[in-house]
Amino acid sequence: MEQGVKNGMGPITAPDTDAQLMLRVRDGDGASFSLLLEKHRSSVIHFLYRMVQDFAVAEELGQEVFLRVYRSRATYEPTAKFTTWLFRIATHLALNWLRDGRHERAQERLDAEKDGAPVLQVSDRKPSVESRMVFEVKLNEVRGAIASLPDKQRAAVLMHKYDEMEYSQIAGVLSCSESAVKSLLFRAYETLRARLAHMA
Amino acid sequence: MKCALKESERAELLLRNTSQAATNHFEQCSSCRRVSLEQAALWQAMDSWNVRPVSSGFNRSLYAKIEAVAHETWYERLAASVRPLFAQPAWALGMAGALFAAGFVFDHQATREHQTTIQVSTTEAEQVEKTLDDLEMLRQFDLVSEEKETASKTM
Repeated sequence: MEQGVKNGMGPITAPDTDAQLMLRVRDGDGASFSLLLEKHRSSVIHFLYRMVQDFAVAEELGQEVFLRVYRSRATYEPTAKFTTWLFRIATHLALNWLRDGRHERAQERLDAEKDGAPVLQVSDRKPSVESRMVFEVKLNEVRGAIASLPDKQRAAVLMHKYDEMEYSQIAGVLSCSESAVKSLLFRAYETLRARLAHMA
Repeated sequence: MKCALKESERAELLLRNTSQAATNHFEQCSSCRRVSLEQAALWQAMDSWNVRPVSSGFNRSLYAKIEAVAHETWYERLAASVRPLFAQPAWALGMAGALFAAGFVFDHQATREHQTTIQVSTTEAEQVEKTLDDLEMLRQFDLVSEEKETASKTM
């Protein structure tokens, strides 16, 4: 299949939009699926990781997202922006995962994270042990504060902050109005500001 | 000093705090200016949360799953499409309830039919018994009339 998807349907001539690529996938063009995967894989998995805070689970859910995209190719209609549809699937899977196993995983999630740990990005090429520890503590506080947000607020904040989505797009993903998204974001940021006030 | 703007208007300004309208408002409103600075600090803190790159085996694993999907039979596809419904407790409970209700209705109807059959059987037995009684009575009438005829002949 990998061969088929990658080499199957001849050369791709720079498509205009993701929706057009998806329409080509619908028509049997496997290479367009590869392009969509390469383009959106990281943003989807990073969003999922920040939602569930477990990198292995995020990759597993990411595979399910793209598998569902592939499964739905025959019935795909470009009624909304492709990324709105993609993130709607991702959000749905993440929220389901959180709902199904929140209690069992809550403690784990706060303690774990070693395999998904971010790369330390500071100007000093060899950060001292102390600065590394300070960074880790601050990062854990940010992660903990975001994890403690209600699910919809968390999803809205992550899409707004890290994926730079417009309100209308977030509204499309969460199936609510733009004003509801603004309200969700306002309250979420208010909570985060209060919890992380000491870091300012 | 408390800001006189509505929550939605404040949200709009704080979430787009680099716009000209936001800058103008922050010059006049110390409360929003303070919140705006806190918000900027929060965004800066959130920027530190980077995520490692996706695993190198991600695509290979995904394509293997897609390959498996491509070779699925129709009933596997059907099962895959309804499986998520059963993953949700509400759906599973709903389906169990519907099955239980259907079973109850079916069982109840069968019991009613069974009772009707018993009633019919009882009526039939009574009718047969009555017929036999009638026949016995007729036979006795015949015997009596034969005796009377014999007696009249001998006289």
